[in-house]
Amino acid sequence: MIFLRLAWKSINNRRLTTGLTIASIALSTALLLSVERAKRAAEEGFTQTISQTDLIVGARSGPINLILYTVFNMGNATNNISMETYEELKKHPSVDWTIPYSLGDGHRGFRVVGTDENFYQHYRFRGDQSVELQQGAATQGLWDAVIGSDVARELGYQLGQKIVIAHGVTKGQGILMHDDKPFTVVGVLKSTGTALDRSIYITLEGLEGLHIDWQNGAMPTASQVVAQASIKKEDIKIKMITAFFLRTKSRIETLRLQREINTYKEEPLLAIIPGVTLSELWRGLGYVEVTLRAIAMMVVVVGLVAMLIALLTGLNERRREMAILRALGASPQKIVALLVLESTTLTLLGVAVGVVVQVVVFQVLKDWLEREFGLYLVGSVFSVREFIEISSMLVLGALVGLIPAVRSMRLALKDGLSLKI
Amino acid sequence: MIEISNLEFAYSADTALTLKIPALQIKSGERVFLHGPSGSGKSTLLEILAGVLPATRGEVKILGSDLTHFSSVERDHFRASHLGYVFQSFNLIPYLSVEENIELPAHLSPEKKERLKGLEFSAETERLAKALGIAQYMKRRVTELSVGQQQRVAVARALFGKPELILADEPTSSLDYDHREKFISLLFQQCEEQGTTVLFVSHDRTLEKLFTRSIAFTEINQAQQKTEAL
Repeated sequence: MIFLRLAWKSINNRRLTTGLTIASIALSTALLLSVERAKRAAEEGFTQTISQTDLIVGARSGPINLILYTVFNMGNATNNISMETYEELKKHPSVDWTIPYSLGDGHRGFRVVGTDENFYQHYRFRGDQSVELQQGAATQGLWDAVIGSDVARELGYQLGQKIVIAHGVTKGQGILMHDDKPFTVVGVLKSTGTALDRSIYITLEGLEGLHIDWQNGAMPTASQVVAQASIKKEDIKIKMITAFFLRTKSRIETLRLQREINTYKEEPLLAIIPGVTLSELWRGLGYVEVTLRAIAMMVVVVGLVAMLIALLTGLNERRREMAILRALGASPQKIVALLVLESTTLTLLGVAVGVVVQVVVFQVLKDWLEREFGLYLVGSVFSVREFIEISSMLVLGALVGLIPAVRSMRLALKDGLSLKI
Repeated sequence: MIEISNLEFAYSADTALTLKIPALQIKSGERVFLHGPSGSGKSTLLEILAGVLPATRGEVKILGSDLTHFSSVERDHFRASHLGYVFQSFNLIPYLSVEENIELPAHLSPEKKERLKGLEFSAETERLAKALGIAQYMKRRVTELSVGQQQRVAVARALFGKPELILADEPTSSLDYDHREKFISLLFQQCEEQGTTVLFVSHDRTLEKLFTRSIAFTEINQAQQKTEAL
């Protein structure tokens, strides 16, 4: 008991250095845990980018490619799906709903998605979160556009803003502009922390209408141009879409329907289960996680080295103290125990503070992290892995304490009682 | 109290003997002044008596127990139970209060605690502090005390729990002359009350007259004295 008190008083006596030591251990613990938590949150955010969609269907390519260009706004579709096929599959008895997606055009680096009202009604992410508008309304008219929250913030767009869509590009500067057929912003989506925030939504007809006067992918000549005002939504016949999301009436039918679509006779199609592909993709990004963890481990080592340095530099000043304890009958082993107790206490305090800091910081920044980084903080605060990390920090702290302790024992044996300072 | 016969000590097997003491006896209740030049091995002898260093050869009996037959843990335990030790200076643990410093032996030795016969630590501490004139500093940080006061705290700690023997290694060398005599008389007064034997090591022979017996270290130690490095 007296040793517990001695250790505590000694720590308390060297408040500044021990404070800094505790802080450095706390920070490394907080960082290590944050990496772990952010990783889980990122994974959660990533694999939950789309939910309640059982299949994503596109022209035949690779599953990763399909999920990248539909859900993540990366890369391009190699081919389209004909409207006839879409209509037929939409009517399939196993299908509950579908969301069509037409891609290919962009606006100042943001992609333009042609879709219909099902998008607003059925699209889900992170479990049961739906697409909501923070301002305005969903697209109704032919030349209406709804913009994602990032688009609105970065470009400073308000309702009523006229936007010109660039042809054929979703990234960078467009060369061919649909400047004769501007769209009007009628709504702004709430932030979702997904790629939805970085897209502009128009109607399928709107996207088709943009290209009504284009011939085989070439810009219309002056004489061929059809004036915007003369185009009617009812007159437009949609020929193709890029992909669509699909919900089955019963989950059991998913695999059968997937096979049916993948072997569809009329057209080469690919249907993927988004959850499966997202997990695959995430595993492919595993090296990021490993790198982050390695960095966090190094920070932990630095924290422990800081403690070691603090303990070792303090040791010389404490040789007198050791001699006094020796004279009072404390064995060298007890002095080792005292120092190990001290370093263990420091580590314990540091780790405890670190855990609290991490939990509090994440709690405070929860909304911001979700909004800005798509880090979706769900599930338990600690996973088994974090418990293992915390425990190993404690063990390492005690082991590090052994180094100055063993050294102090040597000094105590050498100095005996006749230390002259 | 102390019986030494044929004690030999060398720091390692291949160095010359530091100590070679054929015989030394100190009886219970004696106050012995052991004087000799610095570097002559006085402190080494104290460390052997305290059981911090093991004798190389010979017998070292304290209170009838031969320390040379003890393991280092047993010697540590023996020291905690039966001895008080006063250093030349820096006797106190800086982050403990005066009171906590004085009570420290009771926490390290069940025997010393036992000897208080159920008396509260604080009562014993207070008694010693009053007798040594440091009662008003009990709650102070030891670093706020003067050197003289610190040495009295050290004596109070050495006396705490009524040990049979106090070993003092030049405890007065950091005090001025007037304080030395005062210090020693306070120490003796308490030792008398508690029946504690004192072995006091110093190179300062002006204090010799205060003791019941004086021993010249060079006379009892037959080891070849190495000339002191300057």
